[in-house]
Amino acid sequence: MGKNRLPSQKRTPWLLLGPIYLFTLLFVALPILYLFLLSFLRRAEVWGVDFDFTLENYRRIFEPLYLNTFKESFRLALLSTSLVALLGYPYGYFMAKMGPVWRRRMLLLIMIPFWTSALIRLYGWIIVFRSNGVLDRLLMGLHLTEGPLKLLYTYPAVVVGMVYSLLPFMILAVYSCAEKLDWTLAEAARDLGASSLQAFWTVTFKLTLPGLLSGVVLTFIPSMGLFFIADLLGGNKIVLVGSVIQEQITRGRNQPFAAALSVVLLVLTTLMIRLYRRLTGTAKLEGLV
Amino acid sequence: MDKQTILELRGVRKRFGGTPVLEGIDLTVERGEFITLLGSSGCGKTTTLRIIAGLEAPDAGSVVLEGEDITSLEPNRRSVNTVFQNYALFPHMTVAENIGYGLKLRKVPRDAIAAKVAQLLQLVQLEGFGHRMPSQLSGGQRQRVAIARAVAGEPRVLLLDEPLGALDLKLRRQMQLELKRLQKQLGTTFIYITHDQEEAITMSDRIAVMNRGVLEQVGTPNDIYYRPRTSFVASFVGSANILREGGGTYAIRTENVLMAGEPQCTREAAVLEKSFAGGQLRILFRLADGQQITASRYGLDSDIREGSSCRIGWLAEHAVPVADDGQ
Repeated sequence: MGKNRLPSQKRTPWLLLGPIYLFTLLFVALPILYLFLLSFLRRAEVWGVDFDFTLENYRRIFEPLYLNTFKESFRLALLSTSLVALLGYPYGYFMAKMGPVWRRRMLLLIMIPFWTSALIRLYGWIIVFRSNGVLDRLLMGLHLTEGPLKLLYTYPAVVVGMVYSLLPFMILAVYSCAEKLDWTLAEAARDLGASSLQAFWTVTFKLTLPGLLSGVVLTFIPSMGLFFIADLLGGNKIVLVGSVIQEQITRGRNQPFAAALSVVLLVLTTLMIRLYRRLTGTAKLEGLV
Repeated sequence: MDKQTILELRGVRKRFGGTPVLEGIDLTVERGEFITLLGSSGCGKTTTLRIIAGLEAPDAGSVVLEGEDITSLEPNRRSVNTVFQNYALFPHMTVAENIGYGLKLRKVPRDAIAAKVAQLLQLVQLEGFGHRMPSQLSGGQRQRVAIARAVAGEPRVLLLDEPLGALDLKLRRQMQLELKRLQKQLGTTFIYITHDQEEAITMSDRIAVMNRGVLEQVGTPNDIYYRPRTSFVASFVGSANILREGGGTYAIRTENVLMAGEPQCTREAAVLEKSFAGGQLRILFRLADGQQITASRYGLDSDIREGSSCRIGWLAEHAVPVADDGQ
């Protein structure tokens, strides 16, 4: 390795990396730039946008109605993420600890749902939750409840939908971190006088924290925007930032305002990733390679 | 019970998924000694160590530490610490935090921990390294930290699982001497694992030679070397010829094989091969009955030529009768 490489070797990295940069530029950087510019424009009277610069879209976000939507989305995201972490961490942790056979089985359980469209799976939840649906009949059959619970179009239904949809990301993030863990470290802790619980908190948990935090980022960010879950399982009672954006584009025909909301969401997301990096001291998100 | 005995293994057995790993280990370790479990990989020496540490439970038998049966005691309740083969330093803690880890768990006051850590860093010659992370250390330095961490709690017995295995030869030699010095200084009982017979002979007060889950022989390096009890021990420790003759099996050290001219040289042998290795000339002979005998000499060459034949022999007392275990 060094100075006297062949000229062709010097070009190879660019030939290999070029397409990736081009792809990123075309499909990530340019759309974001477009979104950013759009957010400073004004909605036209009939169709499209007028090209005059305005901060009106951003001012509007601070109206109580929209501010509240952000707050609500944040609350739901926080709740979903906490539940996902509580369920996903142990699953990912034990999956990493299992032998190869069980590991494959546990992985399969997470992967199977991905073979079906997310929308169809959510319709499945509607069948479970609706009045006199699968869950109601089960609970009534077991004489646990008197009448139908009317769970569909409630907050808990949305939370279940969120947790269900986002759990795999947490599991994979935790797993990919725990899988690399040197388990003799936990043994060393035990050997030095730690109870199994102490060994877990002082060594194993600390070392898998990057996986958990990266799972939190991977869960929290989408849960602010997964509007179709809120729509399908929450009716129009629960309105998320994602729902508002979608509504402003379709029914509201106000692309600039939707763009402004998106930019704010993007900024919040970026701040979260920065926080993650600050906390873990790593540049990459576990589970995203 | 003998006052000098610190640790005892009584009939320890262990299987992994139907495969027997330990087939009844009985071992008595004396207070303050440096004892080595010597054997090739897969002989069960690491499993023995893990059972003493409490990281593995035996299927049968017991572990007795200072007269107390600790067989079912959790690893954190045993006054036994381990230096792991890959060091197992906590990567998210500094050197000082690693060394002080066990003391912190015991709720030792902060300044007492700091003092002890400083003292241990000095002991392993790593003064000023306390704030470093393990990833910033060389292999030899990590090794020292692992040792300092393991002795911080002043264990009754220190277990060392091939601690020098990952180091290069030169550093290995140096660390062997250092470990020996440390053991004398601390007065702690060391149970050391290695597959390197030379290392075992250099460092140990006693050696326990293991083979296929059984202790073949326990004795001083001198005993093991000059009075091997089985053909396995004879061939594993140093280099010995195993000669089967007249219904008996004998071990003859290569350096004790005499060549041409000595009065004991009564056997006709063909010279098969001459090789020079590490200051030693080795000559491989074939006896009339087909058995092969190796002789070794210090020096560069001898006038014995490959393909020729000569007479060889040995003193009667150098042919040590051993139990034949087929190796």
